[in-house]
Formats: sequence, C-alpha cells, structure tokens
Amino acid sequence: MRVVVVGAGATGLGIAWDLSLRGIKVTVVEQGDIAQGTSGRFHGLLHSGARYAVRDPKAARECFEENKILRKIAVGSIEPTGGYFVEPEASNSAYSQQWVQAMNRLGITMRETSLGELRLRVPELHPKIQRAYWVPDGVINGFELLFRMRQGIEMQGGTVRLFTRVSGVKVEPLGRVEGVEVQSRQGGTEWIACDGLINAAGPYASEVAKLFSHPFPMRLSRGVMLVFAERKVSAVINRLAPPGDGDILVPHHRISIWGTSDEETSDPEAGPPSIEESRRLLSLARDLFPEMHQWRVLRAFSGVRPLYQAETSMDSRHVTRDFTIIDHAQMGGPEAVVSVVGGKWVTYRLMAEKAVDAMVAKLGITATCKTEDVLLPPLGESRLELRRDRVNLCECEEVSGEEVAAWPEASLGQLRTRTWFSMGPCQGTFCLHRVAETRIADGDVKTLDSEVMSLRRERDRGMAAALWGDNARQWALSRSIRSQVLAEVESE
Amino acid sequence: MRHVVIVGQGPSGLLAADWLSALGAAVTIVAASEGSLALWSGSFDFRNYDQDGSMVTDPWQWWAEPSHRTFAQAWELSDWKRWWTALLRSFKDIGLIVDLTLPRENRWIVAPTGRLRPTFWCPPWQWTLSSSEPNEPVTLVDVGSLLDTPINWLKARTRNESAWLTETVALRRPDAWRRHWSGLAWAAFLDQPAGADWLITESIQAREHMRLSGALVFPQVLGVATTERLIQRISDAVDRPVFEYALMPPAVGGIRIRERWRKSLKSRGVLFRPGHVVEVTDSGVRLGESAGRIAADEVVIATGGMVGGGLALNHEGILTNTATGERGFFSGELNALTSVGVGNRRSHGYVVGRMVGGSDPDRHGDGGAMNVWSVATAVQAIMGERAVNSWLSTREEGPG
Repeated sequence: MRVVVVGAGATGLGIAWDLSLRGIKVTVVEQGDIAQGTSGRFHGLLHSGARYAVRDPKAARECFEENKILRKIAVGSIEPTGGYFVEPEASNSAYSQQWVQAMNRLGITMRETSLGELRLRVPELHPKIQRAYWVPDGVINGFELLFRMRQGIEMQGGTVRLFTRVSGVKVEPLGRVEGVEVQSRQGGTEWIACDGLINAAGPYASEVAKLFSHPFPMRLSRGVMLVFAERKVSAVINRLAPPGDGDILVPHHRISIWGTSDEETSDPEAGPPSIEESRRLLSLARDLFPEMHQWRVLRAFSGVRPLYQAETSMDSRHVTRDFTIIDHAQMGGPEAVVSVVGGKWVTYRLMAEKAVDAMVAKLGITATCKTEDVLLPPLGESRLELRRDRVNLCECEEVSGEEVAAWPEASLGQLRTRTWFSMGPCQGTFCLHRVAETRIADGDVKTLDSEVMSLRRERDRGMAAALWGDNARQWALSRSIRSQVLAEVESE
Repeated sequence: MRHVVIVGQGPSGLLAADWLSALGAAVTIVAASEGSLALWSGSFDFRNYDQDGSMVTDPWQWWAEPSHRTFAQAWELSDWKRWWTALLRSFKDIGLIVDLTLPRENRWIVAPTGRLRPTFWCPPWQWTLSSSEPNEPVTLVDVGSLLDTPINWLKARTRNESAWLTETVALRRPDAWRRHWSGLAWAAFLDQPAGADWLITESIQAREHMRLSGALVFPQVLGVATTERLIQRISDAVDRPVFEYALMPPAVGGIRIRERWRKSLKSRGVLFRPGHVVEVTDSGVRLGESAGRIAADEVVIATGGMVGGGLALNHEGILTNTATGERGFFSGELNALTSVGVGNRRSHGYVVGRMVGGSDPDRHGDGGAMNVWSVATAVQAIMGERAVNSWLSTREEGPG
C-alpha cells in the first residue's frame, strides 16, 4: 500500500506524516525544496484564531484548537509569545465589541489588558492605543517544524523526493489511480506505483489537478511582508480591526515580520515585491508603530495564499480561510485521488487528518489518526553546542563551519533555510563565499557558481524591495563588494 | 591662502587633499568615519566594461570614442594622461614603489574565489594577469585556515577554467596563530620581526615543494607597514617574484595606502578632524552635536555614496545628501541616486567621488576614473586653471 503526496509544504508533509503514522507507505514529490512555496513565505504566526473570530468562525475555532495541539506536538519549534489585539486611536469601537462577543462565543482564551501593562510590555506601540486584549498567539519556526516532520516521515520508511515534479498520472481501466510519472530536475522521468494520490500542491494544486481531472476554482492571493533586523516586540501585535493590510507584527527569533497585503493574483509563483508595495505596507504602520520607518529593515518578501472558492465574486479577504477536501471521483476524475486546498499554516495537521481520513476510506482500510498525540521527532545534530573557540562563517546569524558541515548534501539555497546563514543584515555579502568554499570538494565550479549566483539573486530581490535607510547603504555596499572584490559580474 | 574643508576621507577625499595642498591651499579634512579605502585593495579602474557588459581591453580607445564622453566637460585623452600621471606621482610621493608609465591596456586581477576582473592600475603588490597575452605559471600560497581565502574554490577554478597553470603550496601555522585570525591579524603578525622571520623560513621550506618556476602569490596579508621590505625578502629567499591577491574587506591593501597617505598629508600640514558635518554654507561647515563650525573659502564634499554614509534615504524614498541637504527622489535605480552628485559647484561646495555624473562604477568599472575626473574638476575650479596647468606641467617634467 503506497500513497503519493504532491507537495512538501506544511500540508503535504503533514499528510505524509499522518499516513506514515497510520502505517501507510508514502512518497512525497516536491518540485522545489521543502517549504519553497507558501509554507516558507509566511509571517510565522501561530494563530490563536482571534483574527477570524468575527468573519470566519469555523476557521477561527480550528485555529484555536490546532494552536493548542501544535504547542504540544511541535514543542521546541513553537515560541509561546502570546499576542495582543490592540485598537489604535480613532478606530471603530463597534468592531471591538463585535469581536469580543465573537471571541466569547467561540471560547477563545482572551483577557483585556490595561494600557499601562501594554506600554510596559510593548513600548514600541503607539502611545494612543485605546484598548488591548491578550490572546494565545505564538510564533512557529516553520522551517524547523517541517524538517522535523520530514525526518519523522523518513524514520517511518517514507520517501521525500525534492526537485522532482509530477508530470503524469496513470489510471487503470476501472478508474483507480495506479501510479504517477515524475520528472527529476536533470530531466529523467520514472513511474512510481501507488494506490492513492493526494494533491497538496498549494497554489499549484489546480495545475496538478489538470493531470487527471478538471482544474478546480482557486483564488490565489498575494501577500507582501517586511522583515526588520531586530526583535522589536516581545509578543505578536495584531490590529483590532476587520482583517486588512498591514495589521500584524510577529517577533521571529531575533527579527520581526510586518505583514501583510492581500492582492489577487493569477500567478502561483510569488514574484518579488516592488518597492512601492513595501513602502505602502510600511505606511500602514503609522497608527500602531509610529517609529517603524526608522527601524532597520532587512528585506521584503512575498507569498501566495492558495484559497479555495466555488464562487468567484468575492474579494479575497472575504474568502474563507477554511480548507476543502476534494474527492476527484465525485468530479468525474479517477478514484482514490484527493486534493486539499485552502486552510492556514496553523491548521495543516487538521487538513492532513481530514485528507487522510478521506484517503483511507477510499483505500478501504481502517486506521485512525495519531498526529494529535505523537511528538514530532526533534532534529538531530543540526545546531551544535556553542564552542568557545568556534569561528562563525556567517557572523550575522552565528553559523559555524560545524553547523554547515552537518548538512553535507544540501545546496547553498537549502543551507540557507537549514542553518539560517545569509539571513542577517549583510544578507550573505560577507559569508556566502566562505560557505561556498565548504562545498567545493568535488571541484565542480560551474554548479557552485550557479548556486552562488542564484542565492545572490534571491537575497538581492528581497533587499531591493526595501531600499531605505541603512538597508539601502548595505545593499550598495553588497553590490560594490560583489563587483569590485568578488568579480561577480552579472548582465543586468 | 585659500582654506578648503574636505568632508570625507575615502580615496577622493584624500586625493583632493593631496592635490589642493600641493597647489598651496590650506586643507582641513573632516570625517565622521575611517573612509572607504579600507574596503578595497587599491586598484583604480578606468573603464572595464562596455554598456552591454562586455569587457573593455583598451580603456584609452574606449574613452577616445566621442559618444562615450558623457560628461559636461569632456576630457581629451591628453587630459586623462596628465591627471592619471598626477595620481601616480602622488602615490610615489607617499612611498609606494610606482612606475610612472601608464598602462596601455586593462589587466586582470584575481578575486579570492578565482574569478578574473579587469582593472587599469594596481599597486605593485597586486598580482595581475595580462588580459591579452599568455601568462606565466604561478604558485599559490595557502596560509592555513584563513577564513576569507576560499583556496579550494580558487584552485578548482584555475584548474578547470583558466588558461594559466597553477600549483598550491601550503604553509604551516605559526605558534601564535588563532582560529579567528583575519587577513588584518595576519598582516599585523607579519609586520613584526618575528612574524617576518617565520614567513621567510616557511617560504624557504615551501620552495622545496614548488614545481613551477613562476611567481609566488600570497593572499593579501603581507604586512601593512613593512610590505615592500617583506616582499623583497621573500622574493630573495625563494628567488622568484612575489605578489598578492586581494581578499574581502577590511582590505589590507587599501589600509596600507590610507595609512601612508594620511601620514604624508599630515606632514604637509593637512589637518584631520573627526566630526559629522551637518550643514554646508558659503562660509564653511557646521558640525553636529554642537561641535561648532569650521570656516572655509571652499568646501569639497567627498562623502561617498550610500556606502560612505553621506547620503541618507528616508522612508518616503527621498534621498538627501546629508552634507548639502540636497534632495532627490530615489526610484530604486542606482543611476537616479548617482546623479545627485556632480563634479561642478552646486549651491555650496563641490561634490566629488566615484559615483558622480550618472556613473554606475559597479557596473561599468570606471570608479577610479570618476574619482580622478571629479577631483581634478573641483581642483581646477577652486585653484584656477592657470595655476593647475603650470603645476601639472612641473609634475610631468619633475624627476621620476
């Protein structure tokens, strides 16, 4: 019995982990790297559900429940910071009342906070905030959580195939799926036999569905976020207002992420943000964080939310954050094929549970979900103990040669998300050549050069979208060092 | 005597101080930080790349093309020749061993990762390759565990891709060595007699393992103060020419030039004053933090681009020159940024530096030329063309 899962984001890996724990063999097929799409490009918020309390109570309730479960099963990858919903000066208090009622109705933990306490806890906030509530928000270390999940899947005998895309689906005469054709980055194709197929390709889900069925309606929504170099707040700060652009600040390790925007798009690939987009997002912070324009900005990035919607008339903020499981047999497609769309990062586990429930029913077996109670295996030796005499290759993020060596198979791009090198203020200017040096063992200069340049481009796009203040200077310095010292000339 | 205040002590600030003081001006340099010379190993570009990114072999020919004279006061090749010579003579005056003959063609310098980059002029310690003729084989020196020497990458590239022959010899670590030693720490070690002696002994040892007969090329760590002497000693000991290739900033090569230049300028009466200039007026400059004013007949603004910190961008995208207060809108293109500074007088002060006149030196490889051109233009405007011309002619004829 084998099930193929398409996509190695939170949902795909969550599904594969769930299947593994139910004793079903899995192969995950991912066109890029782990969390390369939506799952790696979010603000890191562990929702308490409060954001959706008024408009989307079902999603809110699910977020609240899953929040509690993730704190338990992903301990170590969740930072229980808590969060505040704060009402800026001159905003509509009618919404606050509505929100408080909805929160009480849903039973989401909440307590009103005195403004004195708020100022003490979050001095960066605007002095004229008029009301504040504490909620059990938190912060997810998304990459780490997914690496743990992948490790768990492999420990259970599953396979995760990165940089491999599904290019065809084989259906037996009676209409059941019997295999998928996959294509590696090098161009070779092969067949993987399977008894079931789950499509968790996020923004690409509809494209994947075209391989065996009609495409289904999706709403892709693009969100832009700004990254600041310091941890400016100790808890998540939400604007107490109907969901809108520029309404959340998440403290993430030593940085802070300000988000987001919401704009409909037809492109599943989140293109780089423009400087206009980031400046607009920045301007929305005035009534919450009046000094934000002076914070040390690092970069801007964007992600695409894959929302599912049968009707097409709504604005994407109003499309439910709830998820949908599609049984393709009911749409005239093959049997034992299921797609999962929509949802939130925080509800990935629940989505996986429901998708796998649907799949085991198709496979005619009984096996109950265990993910609610099984701890994700902690990562092995990836972060070694601090050594007194250690020398950091990446000084901004304190990544040593030993940490880099702990990922012998990883490309430079993969090392970035695994060790966090090049993520600090210099954005790789002073460390990329050092880290690259550790990867030259087999003397393949061409591959290394192309990995270096692709990481440069990736960092550069993010920096170029937030060119003001010291980041602008840093960008100019980086550009100069690359051209004057490292001779990395690229045609522009 | 004309009193000139120069804001900034990067290459263009020091160059302006050198030429203006030589012409008889009283010069004060005011700088908020150490200047950008420490970022680079000291090469000066004339023009490395054409508009389409292709490499320029003969920069003289490139500048001779009328359509390439993009500046208000287009220079003839004879102007370039005079001013480049004046620059080299200034370097000679501060104690660099310089051949005053100007290069005919761009040569290649070698990046720490082994990539090649064209440049016009380099200090004598710099390892350069001919861009148009076959090159001699060389021996690369691996000074153990120097963080910023990607020696394996450099080796692999020279082995796989290059037309010249290389081999590598590794030096053992000295007893004093510590894991965190950067290029600068190595240079400080080698500046000491014990360090230099250790290096000579090691080089003689390493010689046993050298199969090639060409130059011996070190990473740029061969001292700050004693470089030429050290290079001569190694060269005598191993009986072959000795050079360096540049490392990442802080660059030992640039620090050598900066230290010698500052010392020489001080001995000629140039005053150095720390301070952050917040206002430039017709009567001089005002310093921040109530540090007072400095009166001047003329002000030269050499605060660099954003790198030097002279330009500030606010969150509205408004670019402000922190010295002049001049404002412009920054659209995200570096070209828009660079057009803020021009070589000519703008309300108060002359703006000089590599990013002037719409130039993008990172892309075009003309930063050295822009420094020379903008400083020369400011010097002519301040001191008068006649005085400058007669000074230049003595510079050309003077004892080599």
